[in-house]
Amino acid sequence: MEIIQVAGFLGSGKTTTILAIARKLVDKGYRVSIIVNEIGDIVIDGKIMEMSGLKVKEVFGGCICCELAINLAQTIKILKDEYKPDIILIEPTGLASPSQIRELIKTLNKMNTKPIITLVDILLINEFLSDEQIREIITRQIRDADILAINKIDIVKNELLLKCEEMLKLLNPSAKLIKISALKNIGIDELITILGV
Amino acid sequence: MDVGHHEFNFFGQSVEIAFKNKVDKFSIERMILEIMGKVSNIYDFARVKLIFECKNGYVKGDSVIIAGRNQFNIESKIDNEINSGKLIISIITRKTINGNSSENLLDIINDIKGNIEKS
Repeated sequence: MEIIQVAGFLGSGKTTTILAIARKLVDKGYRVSIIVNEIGDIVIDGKIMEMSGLKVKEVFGGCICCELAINLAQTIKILKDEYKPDIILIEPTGLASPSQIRELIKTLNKMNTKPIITLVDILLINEFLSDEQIREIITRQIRDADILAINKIDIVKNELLLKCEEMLKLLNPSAKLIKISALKNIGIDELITILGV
Repeated sequence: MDVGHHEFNFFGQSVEIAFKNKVDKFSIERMILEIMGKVSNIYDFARVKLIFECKNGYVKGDSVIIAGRNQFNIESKIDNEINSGKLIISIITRKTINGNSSENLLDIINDIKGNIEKS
């Protein structure tokens, strides 16, 4: 069973990207499940995913990278036993630390972690990095990534994109950079190819 | 642990809404946009997600508010006019925000619902 983590700060497009990836994988014949983590006790994204006909489990009321780590392990086991998916897509909260989630998954039996995708919101990245508190979280998410996916590229000018790419290369030179628009389904096939699914 | 995400607050609300007369999806979209607009006037940083669910479908809105910018999306999956539904809202803000946010939020929702009924 493969596990794909789609990380990224609040509003970076995780739900839309996961839906786009999931649809493509289902079309390829994979059994796909999704785990959605919400920091609060109200789940909205999970509802939207379920309405798309996907098998979704929700972990809410905290963060799976720390206080709800045990709940993540249990949820993966439940999905594995009940639904037997080929692939589980994980949407952590926008505040989570992706590497901590990967370390947890590595401790589970018969789970293969695929490269961590961190989404970057091209529209707001400069505002986020200008905010000391948010910069700390985003910088960690960017540095934890194996794949950095610059999202929402359909609504920005090329020069902004180039500046963003330069900045990301400085923060995480080893990550694979990709440009996507999850909403317009741009770059999703390439993302799946890079994931090696 | 050095992650700073415990420095954020979450609050949410689920409200059953019944309109006096049937309304179309544009009225629901307007309601959601107005709520997001009001929230952006209160907080310097917030992540807002809303969904209005009814028997015909849903309208979902989400926004990120930071440094005076309010970047939002809205998605409608409602065809016919409706007269009731459930509005669910979740907001993440910084912990430095004081006050009873849930009560403020309920006031905002009721004000906007009243405005839609009047119009």
